[in-house]
Amino acid sequence: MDVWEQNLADVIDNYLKNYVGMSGSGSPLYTGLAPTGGPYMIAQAQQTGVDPSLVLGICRSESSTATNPILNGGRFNIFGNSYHFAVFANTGKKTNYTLYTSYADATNDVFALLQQYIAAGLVTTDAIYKKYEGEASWQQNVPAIKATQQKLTGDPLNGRYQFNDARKAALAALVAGFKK
Amino acid sequence: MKRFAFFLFALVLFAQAVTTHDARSGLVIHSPAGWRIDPDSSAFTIESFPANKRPPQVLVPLGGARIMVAAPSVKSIDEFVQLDRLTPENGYLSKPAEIKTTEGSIPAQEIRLDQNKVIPEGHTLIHAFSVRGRIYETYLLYRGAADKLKYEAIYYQIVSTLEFPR
Repeated sequence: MDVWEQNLADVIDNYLKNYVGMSGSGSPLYTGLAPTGGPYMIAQAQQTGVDPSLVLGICRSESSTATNPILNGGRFNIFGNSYHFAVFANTGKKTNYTLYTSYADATNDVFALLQQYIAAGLVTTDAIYKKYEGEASWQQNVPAIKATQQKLTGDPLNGRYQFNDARKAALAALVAGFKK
Repeated sequence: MKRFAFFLFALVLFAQAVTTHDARSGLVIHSPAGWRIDPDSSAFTIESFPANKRPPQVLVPLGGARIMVAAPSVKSIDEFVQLDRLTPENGYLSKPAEIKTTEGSIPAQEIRLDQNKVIPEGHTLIHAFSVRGRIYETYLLYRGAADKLKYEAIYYQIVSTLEFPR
């Protein structure tokens, strides 16, 4: 992990620690991923080429960054993965899908899935989330996803994991702010 | 025999082919009629099903397929593989291959993802190759092993009829 990735890991950890969600302050992803959420997300981003700011934007939209206590598929289905639902969303009937038993499994899967989206030519936030959420209802969550991407110095128009000069400057300023 | 039948099937399907002059890649692409262009893709992409039949998350419905043709902005096949992370760590298996094109049989890198954990019954086949110094990528995703021969026949037919810029 180079200095910029370490900075981004720190920014993600700070975001997770201070996230105000549905169950008070702090996202359980901070300690629910080892060693903490930030470095875990960076390792996944390195492996898959998917920006963690996009992943956390989707997490915010699907589960208020893991703070929503009532999720279809249990508390670990924080990205709303419909192949890990407990009941079908349209009928309410029980599925026979395997439920997640850790934040890590759910996180690994969403990075792996979005890696395949990028390989399939879907690189913008709009294109990715439209396919992820479905044609009918994707637009309502996109502003929150893009806001999260910006907050984490990501490109709100692109899901690829990359560092340009603007991001590096934003990261340096954010990290300097933590250390004051 | 079955493979030959699917080859004939692809030929019949292409009797009413749609021709696209793709400005992004510079390619002329011949694709089967009845497939739908995905307007959300960064490259020329067609799908065998209507958009409202796509289930959330998994890109294509069971029995459906997606084919993309692209000219990624990379200088080498290795750079392309790293950019899209088509790596063994992500489950992709890669081997040298030959691919039939309008430029003759040319060397390509063939990349497959068959043990797909996050797209149930999903199969991906990718070829990356170079023509006159430019890197091209062709991509197939389908769900359901029963449709392997049908969709690969269509995919290879598209690849073999690509017209490259001079």
